[in-house]
Amino acid sequence: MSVRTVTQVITERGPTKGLDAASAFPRKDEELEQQPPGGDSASPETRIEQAEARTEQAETRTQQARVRTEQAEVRTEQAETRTEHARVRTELAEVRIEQAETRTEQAKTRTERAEARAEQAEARSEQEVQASQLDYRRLFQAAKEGILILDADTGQIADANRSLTEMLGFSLAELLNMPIWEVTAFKDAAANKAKFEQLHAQGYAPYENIPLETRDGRKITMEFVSSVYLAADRNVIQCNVRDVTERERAEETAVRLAAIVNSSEDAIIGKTREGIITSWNPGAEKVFGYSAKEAVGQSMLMLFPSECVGEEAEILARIARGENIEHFEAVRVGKNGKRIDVSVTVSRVVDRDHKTIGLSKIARDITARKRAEREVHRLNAELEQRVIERTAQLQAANKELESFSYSVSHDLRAPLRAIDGFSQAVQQDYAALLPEEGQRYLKTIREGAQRMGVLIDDLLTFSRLSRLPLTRGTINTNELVRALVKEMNPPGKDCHAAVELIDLPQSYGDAALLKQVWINLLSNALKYTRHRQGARIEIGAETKQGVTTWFVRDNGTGFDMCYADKLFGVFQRLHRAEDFEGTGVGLAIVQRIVQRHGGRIWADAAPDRGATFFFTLGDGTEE
Amino acid sequence: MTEPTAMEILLVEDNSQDAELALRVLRQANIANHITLARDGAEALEILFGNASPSPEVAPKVILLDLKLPKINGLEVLKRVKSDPRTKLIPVVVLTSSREQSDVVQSYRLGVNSYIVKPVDFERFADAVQKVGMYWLLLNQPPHVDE
Repeated sequence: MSVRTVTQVITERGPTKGLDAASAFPRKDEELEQQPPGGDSASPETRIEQAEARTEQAETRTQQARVRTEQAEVRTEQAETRTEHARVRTELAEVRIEQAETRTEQAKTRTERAEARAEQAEARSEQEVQASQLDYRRLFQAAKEGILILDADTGQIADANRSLTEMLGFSLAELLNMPIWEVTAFKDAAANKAKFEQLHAQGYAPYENIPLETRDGRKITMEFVSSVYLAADRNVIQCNVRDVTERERAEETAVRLAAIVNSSEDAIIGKTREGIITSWNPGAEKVFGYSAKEAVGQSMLMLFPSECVGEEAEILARIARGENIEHFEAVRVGKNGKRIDVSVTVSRVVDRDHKTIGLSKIARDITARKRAEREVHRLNAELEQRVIERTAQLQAANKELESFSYSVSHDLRAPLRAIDGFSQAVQQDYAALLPEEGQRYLKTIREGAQRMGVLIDDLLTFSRLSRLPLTRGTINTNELVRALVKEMNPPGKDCHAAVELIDLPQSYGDAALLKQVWINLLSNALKYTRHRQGARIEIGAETKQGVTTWFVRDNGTGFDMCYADKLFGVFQRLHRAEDFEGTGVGLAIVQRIVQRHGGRIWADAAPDRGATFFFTLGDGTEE
Repeated sequence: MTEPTAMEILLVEDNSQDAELALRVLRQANIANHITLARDGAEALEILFGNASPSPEVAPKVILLDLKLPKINGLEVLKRVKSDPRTKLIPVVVLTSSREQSDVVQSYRLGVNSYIVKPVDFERFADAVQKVGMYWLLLNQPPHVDE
């Protein structure tokens, strides 16, 4: 365009090419000659004057002519210069014309190319439109959000993506061309007709948390964003629908968890990895006395007694190593300066990528428990002390008993022997001098002395049993008892009782002492069946839950159970000496031995119906 | 010197009744006629070591020793007898009322030759004394000190 304009301008100027200075001035000369016309008709003087005047005029004119000539010369020079300029310009113009022609040519080429490109572009954009439609379709179907396209004029559903149909449980076919307010899922929701019209008017409407019902009656919560826009030649409404049921549930859970934290009696404290408090529940307020406002932003160190300040660094270091701290018992200080015993659990709070974003600390006030523990500890120590003192007393008593029994064995026997010995000497040396009555008295004196000797022996045996240490081992009870039965109730004419003996399990204890137990029980059974026709003795054992109960049963005299508490007392007898001899020490000895083995002894009997003695032995711990 | 017969039994017994009964039994059984009685430990040691050195003739064939004695007790007497080369070969029989194991063990440690618990019953006491006398004086072969 501009090229063409330049060419035109140059062409229009073309005719000024032959213009020069001379041709420009002749009109001026013609003008001078015609002026003044009437001079020839005047006097000589006048004519002289006139001639002079004319001469002067001529001179003036000559002068003027000279000036004009000079001026003309100047102009000629100027014209020449201009001609020169014009020539240069003409040359330049010619060059420009050439350039312009070249440019025109180029422009033409360019135009042709542009046209070609435009054609290509058109073809491309057609492809692109097709591709973008495909992309859109793919996005539409693949979107996690449900997308619903409505006809903005009629409210009919024009399209719905897979997420939406899956979300609602309706097929696309069921939805298509239905006015949205007639779809049951939307019936009560934001998409009822009134809302639709409102949206239609405003062009955009976000709704939060709209409850919908799926085809199978499930209530779900939706977040709805709708907008109206022009597509092709008609208005459509696009609704983006997001199922926020999960999110709502998560929010609800968070609220519930927060409520739990808030209602906890324990102090639940959030802190940074550096130990700066970030959260502080009412439990913490209760335990430590600081309000959340006072505590948040402070260092945990404010809760540490000065001597425990090092603990925090240690706790943080352990946490940094990935350890959790559970039920760590420590002392902290509350706002009022009181020391509080706490059980502390510290754990890392991690985000989804297991990155530590802070620490949680749960502290339980165990001051009361600690106090109780200290009390128990004190009582235990006190008890221990008392046990020590009591043991010392017992040891002293034992020692006393030892020297007492020594003196009994030594000093009480001698007079008895003298009584017996000299009584016998009288019997031997002076029997002839004594009447029969006197001899009977001497006999009675000797019997009394002998009986007292037996009592002393039994008492000493009993006291020795309490003092001697036990030598435990495994005992073949079966063999032991069979041998004793054979010895104490020998077969033959002296046999007076039928002894029934089942296989007895092994026992564990002091062999000599347990033998004494069996001897005493067996001799009792034999003694008290002495007057019985068809005397029977049954010996057995029964093991229940790992504990063996041994028993010796007879069908002898028995006894009244109301005297059972006297049965095992030293020198306690339930029968008269005339009926059954004995010192009343046998069962006391049995009980003592059984008790020293950590066992128990008891009896079951009825007068004239026999008696059964049961006993157990402990597992090796002395009573 | 007028009695060339050596002391046969040294009975160390503080209880005069026991001593009398023992002497009666031994005499009745005709076991010994020369019995010396010491009433406490000190007297026993005086008899054994008193007049210069005890000659073999003075040494008893057996010592019947009670343990619980006034002044010096039986275990001390036993210790002195068994640790002195002049008397260590004399058989010592403890005849005591004590059946305490500590006494029995201690006596054997000190070298006692026999330990008899006096039976409380006189008849058994008499029987025991008689058997002890019979055994040590008649059955037992003592070493000859002068050999």
